[in-house]
Amino acid sequence: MGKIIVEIISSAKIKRELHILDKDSIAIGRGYDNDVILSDSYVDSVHVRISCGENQSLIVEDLNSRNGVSTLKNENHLKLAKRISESTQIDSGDLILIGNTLIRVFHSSHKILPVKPISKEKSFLYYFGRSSTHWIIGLIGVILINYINGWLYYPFTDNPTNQIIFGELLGLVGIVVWAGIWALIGRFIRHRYRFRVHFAISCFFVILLIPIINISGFLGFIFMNRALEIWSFVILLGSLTALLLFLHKTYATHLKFQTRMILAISIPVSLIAISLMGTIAFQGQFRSEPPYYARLKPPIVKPLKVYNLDDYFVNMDKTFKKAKDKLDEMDSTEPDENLEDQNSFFLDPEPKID
Amino acid sequence: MNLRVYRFRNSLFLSLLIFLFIFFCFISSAQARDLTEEAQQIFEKHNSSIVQIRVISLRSGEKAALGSGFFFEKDGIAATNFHVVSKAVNHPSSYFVEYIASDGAKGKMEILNVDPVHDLVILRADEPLDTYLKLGGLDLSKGEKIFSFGNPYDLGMIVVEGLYNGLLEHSRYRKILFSGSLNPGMSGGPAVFRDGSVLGVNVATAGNDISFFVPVYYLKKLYQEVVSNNGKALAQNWEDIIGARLAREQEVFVERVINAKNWDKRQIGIVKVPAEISSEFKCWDRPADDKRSWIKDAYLTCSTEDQIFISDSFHTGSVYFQYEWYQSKGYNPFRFYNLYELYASNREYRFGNAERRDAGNFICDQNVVDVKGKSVKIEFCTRAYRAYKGLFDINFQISRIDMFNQGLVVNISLLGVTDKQSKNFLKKFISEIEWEK
Repeated sequence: MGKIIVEIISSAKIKRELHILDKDSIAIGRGYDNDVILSDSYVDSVHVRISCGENQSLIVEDLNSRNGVSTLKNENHLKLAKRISESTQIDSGDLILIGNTLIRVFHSSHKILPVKPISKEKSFLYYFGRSSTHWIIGLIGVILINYINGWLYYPFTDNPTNQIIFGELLGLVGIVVWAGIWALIGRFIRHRYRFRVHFAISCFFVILLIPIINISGFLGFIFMNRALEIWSFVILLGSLTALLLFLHKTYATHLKFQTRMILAISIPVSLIAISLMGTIAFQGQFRSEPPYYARLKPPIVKPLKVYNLDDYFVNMDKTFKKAKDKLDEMDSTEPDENLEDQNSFFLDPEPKID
Repeated sequence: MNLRVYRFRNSLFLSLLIFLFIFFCFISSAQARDLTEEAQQIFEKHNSSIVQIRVISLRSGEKAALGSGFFFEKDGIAATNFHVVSKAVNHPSSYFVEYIASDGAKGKMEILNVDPVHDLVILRADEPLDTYLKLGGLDLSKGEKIFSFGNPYDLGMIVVEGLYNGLLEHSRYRKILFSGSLNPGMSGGPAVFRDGSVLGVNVATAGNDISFFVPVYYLKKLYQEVVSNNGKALAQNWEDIIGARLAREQEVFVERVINAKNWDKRQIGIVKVPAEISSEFKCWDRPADDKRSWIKDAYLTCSTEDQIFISDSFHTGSVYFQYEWYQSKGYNPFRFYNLYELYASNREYRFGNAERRDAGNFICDQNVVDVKGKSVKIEFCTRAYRAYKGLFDINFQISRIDMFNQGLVVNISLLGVTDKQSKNFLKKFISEIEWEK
């Protein structure tokens, strides 16, 4: 005599219920005579019969139910559920969908995987979440890097200390608020309040952010390429933001690795895509001044290519040509724009006297 | 500082008009007695040849610009300023020009020739007046009494008495300096000698009895072109002619500047740089910024004072360059360069309010160039003119990056030049900079 194990999976997939039945054949339905009773109004009084087959297989039989019986392999792929018309053989561990209820059925001889040993080596993230030193290291790091950055860029007076302290405090308030938001999210979803971890993550983001800004500036100077500077900055910042979001989600939510990854990447990617679209959309807009690009680095940093003056002037023709092409391009993107004097639209409330 | 800058709100303008009219009625009788008899005679004699010029919108039939003008040849040939009728020149399909004579006679005018560089236009009236002024010469000396006519603020034709004070040395072309008061609305009116011959055309004022005329020989030259064309208009669409005149003007200017021997130079930091390289340029210093005590800087800016008027929004023809010198006071190179970068990027451009209908967007490139063994970063930006093919505005910025504790930024702007002209100018300019003491 075989055993059939029935696992009822709730729609939120959080609550699971196991029934172990010492029978070769069981009936499931809303009626009280069934072996497993479901309180689902879309289920018939006697809906389905499941019986043991050969080689760990199970046989499912629809008992003329109104809404039918479907079988599927993966609980995440409900759309792939196949409705059965006659008694069908399924494997142990497969799922069946009756009404709105998802059920997994096992044969008693279903093989289970061997036990996994608990790893002695803890991952970086494990320590990151537990050690109290990280947020202190992060805090000191942020203060230091802000100070260096302020000292290099910010001082407009001889005594910039007060300005730098102000900047530091403002930055720290930002980090505390950001970490607080994530800790709150964690509290709601996971019932865990790990402010320190989120604080440490935010600190390490800031510590990496400032070098990234500088690295792209150096790249732009070395290759004398504004596009390279912008794109290296966008890509580095995008990856860093993705990492930040990923870590916050790891500690604040119970999403799967894959989901966390997709969410973390999709936010910076969509931001980049939107700004790129904006750039393209406003490409034809008139700008009365040149876009200025002043990257100057001390002579320790050598640019890759140095022209001699004669070659430079020969190359200049390309830029003149580009300027002409730009004009044509602007004409082609918005040819309908009225290029006439705007004053002519008005019934001359202010006649011009020359 | 042209007369065109003045604008009034409708109500303000009207009340001012009424006030001035009443004021004028009272004053005119008194003033007429005060005026020299000579001015009175000249006014009475020549008043009939001087007209008000109006630019009328075809859409509304209303006036869009007002100025003055005068007849100087039989068959109704008249002259006024380019900036008075610029709308009709730039948009012939939307505006036309008409005159109103002192007796109230009206008539349409056709544009025969234009010269934005000297701010002149030659027109022909459909129905010519009987009288006209004779064009004279400039053989008079400083301090001689001359008279200017015009219709200020649409108040009626007036005569202004003043003194001839010679020709300007420091302008793109040699304007007449007039010690008398020109006012908005008088643009395009004639300046006459006491025998009634025209010596110039009203063009601009700097206020406080300092006003300017275009010398008459530019008008004669412009009229000669009409005569050579059998008295017909040189074009219907003026873009090509204006473009050619602008290019020619800058060509002559660049040639003259390039070929000038012994460029005037100033010391800035350890570098000797071109300054007032020709008489058109004026250089100015700016006092060192006290707040920047951590960085020692010097500043010099040089520019041509004039610009060429094309339309209300579009001015061209000016050339300017400026220098900034930075000297670190014991800062490490990275910090110094960050500050240097910050100040070098803080640019003040003078490309005016050109709009989309005037020019395209700027295109820039940046390169490191070896100039006489010194590494400099050059950022070059240019935009093409829409109507005047082959003309560009350019901005050329050189920043030295070969020194740890010092920096030099040279910023050069040329407006309305061809690619060839700008290259020649820049080549010469760079070769004239003495990079070391």
